[in-house]
Amino acid sequence: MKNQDLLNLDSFETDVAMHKLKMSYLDLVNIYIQRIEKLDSKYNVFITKTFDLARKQAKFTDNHPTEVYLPPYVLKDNIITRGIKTTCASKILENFTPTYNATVYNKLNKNNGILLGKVNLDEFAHGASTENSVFGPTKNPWDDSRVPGGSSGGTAAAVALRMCKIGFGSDTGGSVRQPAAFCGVVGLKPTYGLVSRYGLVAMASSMDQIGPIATNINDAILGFINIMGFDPNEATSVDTEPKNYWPILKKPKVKKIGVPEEFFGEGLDKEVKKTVQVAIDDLQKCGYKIEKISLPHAVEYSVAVYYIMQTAEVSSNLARFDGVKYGYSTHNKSKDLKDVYMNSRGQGFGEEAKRRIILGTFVLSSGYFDAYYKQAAKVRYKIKEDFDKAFEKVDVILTPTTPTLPFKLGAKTKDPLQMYMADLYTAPANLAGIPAISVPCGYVNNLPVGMQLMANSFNEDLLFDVGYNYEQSHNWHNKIPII
Amino acid sequence: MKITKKQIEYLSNLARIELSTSQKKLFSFHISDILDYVEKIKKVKTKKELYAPSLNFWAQKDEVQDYDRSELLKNAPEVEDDQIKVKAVFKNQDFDL
Repeated sequence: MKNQDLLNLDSFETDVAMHKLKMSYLDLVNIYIQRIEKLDSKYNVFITKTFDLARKQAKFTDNHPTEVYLPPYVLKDNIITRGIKTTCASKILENFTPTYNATVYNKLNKNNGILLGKVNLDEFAHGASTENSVFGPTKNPWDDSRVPGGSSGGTAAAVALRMCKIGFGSDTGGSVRQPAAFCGVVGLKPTYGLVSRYGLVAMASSMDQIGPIATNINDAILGFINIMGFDPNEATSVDTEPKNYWPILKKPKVKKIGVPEEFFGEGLDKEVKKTVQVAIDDLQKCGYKIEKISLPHAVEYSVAVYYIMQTAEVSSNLARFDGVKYGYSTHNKSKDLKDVYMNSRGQGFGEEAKRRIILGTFVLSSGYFDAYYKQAAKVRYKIKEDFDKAFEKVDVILTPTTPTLPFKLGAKTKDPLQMYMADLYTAPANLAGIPAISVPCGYVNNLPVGMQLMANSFNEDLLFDVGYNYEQSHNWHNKIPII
Repeated sequence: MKITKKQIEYLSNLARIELSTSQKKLFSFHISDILDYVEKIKKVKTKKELYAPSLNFWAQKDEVQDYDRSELLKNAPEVEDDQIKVKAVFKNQDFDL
């Protein structure tokens, strides 16, 4: 076995292979570093490389073996890390170094995690293409003239390019699942409250969740169990007993999979539709019962509700960046305090962040609050109700993850509403707080297609059950982009 | 719903964000476009509301956490005597009353 072959194994197989080859973690980290150095200039994945730290952490792991094997990983650069720059891909935080750790990072450190670096995203996670980054766009590993999706495009691209086995992103309206689908990898958005948001730079607090991205289901589970769990620092954190998340091949727990017709209508690319339909037939062959269901409000209203409630929360959460305590500031050039606010924010935020803050300020402003924000909350209730009814009949819901194949760089940057439509199938799960996963289910002209599985709150194990049984009857997770 | 450049200016002041002339024009166009799209939510008639999928909100204890002061100050734009320097909050005339 060659060293490079290790990059294609899952974490457990890697562990076994390392023992056989008498390899240390330091050796493994050096293989990844070599790979990153070779590919990063072409794909623009990393904002900050932490190779010295990774080597140090690897040496520590070599001397302190643990039972939980955690392969080298990357973090989206909106998860804060003490002493390591956390930029949110923005000018306003370009030189910001946090003074404490996100809970997720603390948990990974506790389990001998090895951090390779902080990776690219849309500024403050606002976007579906990783083009809104002050550090330039990340390229799609399957076709470098296309976007990797977003906003966790750096994380998904890093995993697809085998620069790491597991990456962590954040998902507010699809920002883990959509780039996972566009890069041909697995991406999970956990149940709201299961993974601590403490130290995740807040975008829309009622929807944000950190989730793992990996090439296969087992590594996604490994990533998930390493970051989940109650956190006293987070007021929406849920204290619940972890389940046994490991699936069993050919012994499906899930009986019925629901397919909502609304997710296969207008706006869905024909080739994506065909690919997902083949996957549904294959699942039937795996022994799952498929049932047609209806979610009347989800697709019809989710993007509208999402872009009202999310921007409202963005306008409030991003108010803290004011040029006073940290971040980009015009303190020395402004005449008074208001000027410091106006100019630091005006010069420090990119166009999309500003657009969302302005729109969010509008929907919360006097005279419009009831018509927009409050009305959106009502429709959000209806969307949740649709899911509650559906889960009385089926265990898992299956849809396409994205309406289109990965699009060309620059194709949607001039038309924000078109960009927002990328969230069409993913935003409903965030609005309802339920877990959802994107699993690779085929290729069209060598571009990946993802299918989305959604389950009721806390039923991540059911998503892994279907995902794993599907994955093992195909070979999509072993397909690697030709570089 | 049409959002005018003047409304954008009003919102930019509320949100404390300076916008360029071209941004004001662009945002008035984009936000009008987005508001036209979201208009459809008004068709849904229902009373119940959902603001967050809160499964169990609970109150945190009010506890002081310790941070390294010098580490915190490293990020500050302007520091004087170990404190963050801020522009005057009150203008002179505020005290003339």
